[in-house]
Amino acid sequence: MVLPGAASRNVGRLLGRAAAATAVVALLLALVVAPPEAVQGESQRLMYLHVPAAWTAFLAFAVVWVASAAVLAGASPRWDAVAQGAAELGVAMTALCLLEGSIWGHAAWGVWWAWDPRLVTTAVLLVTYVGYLAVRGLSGSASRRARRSAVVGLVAFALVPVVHFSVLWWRTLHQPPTVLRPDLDAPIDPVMLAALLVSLLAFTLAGAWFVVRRVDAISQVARPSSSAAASPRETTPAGRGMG
Amino acid sequence: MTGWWVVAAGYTAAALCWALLVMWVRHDGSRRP
Repeated sequence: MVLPGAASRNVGRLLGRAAAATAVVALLLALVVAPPEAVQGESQRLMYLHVPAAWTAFLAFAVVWVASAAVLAGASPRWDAVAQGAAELGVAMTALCLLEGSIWGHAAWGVWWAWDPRLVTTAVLLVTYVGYLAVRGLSGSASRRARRSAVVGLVAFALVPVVHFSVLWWRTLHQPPTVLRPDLDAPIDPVMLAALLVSLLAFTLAGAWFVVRRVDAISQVARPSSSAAASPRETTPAGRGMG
Repeated sequence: MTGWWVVAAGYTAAALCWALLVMWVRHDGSRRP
């Protein structure tokens, strides 16, 4: 992710192709090969999107944390672009996770939304990282903005374990973890598990592709104005967040 | 909404989300100097 331009573009191309090929296999496994769930029927196939979206969001926010720590440690400014790209991916994946959960929830629970600990903490996570992207858009020099965003990026990650353990800490409609159980004895059909793992891989590769491409684009756009980094009025596109 | 209609809605939503991300990457990439 912090590779020089040409290498970054090659890695991006490779990741894009790998993600596309894996996605085709994942779709075949999820929609054709995997059996319908005994109680929920076909609607359970949303698991192959809902879980990978949540996983990719958590992974993206972990990358934001690492990149933020690197920025505060004085590493290359490219780490600030990594934090932005990963935060954008995380926000999109959290929104997708909530959307898939809502559609699945309507089929399984009969409601689009419930004031349930897992759902509410996930919504708070989404709002927090949208806020992080808004903080990136505040005025100030590039280095000051990067440090300010890095502090928010470090603190915001504290919500991720709260979301993950919410199903164990509080009474909830949402089921507890199936695969990431403490005893590692996943009660899931092997074909369903294979479809889920390939889908997780496809989302991870596609997410990595997105971040690599975004870092490349952000760094390219930010470079011409880097000489003006000392100016307090300078605002590069790197700090515009989702806008 | 049941069965395959639920699946169709969910997979369409995911396809739109990823299409948006691809367009987002290409949009900003096109602003390169």
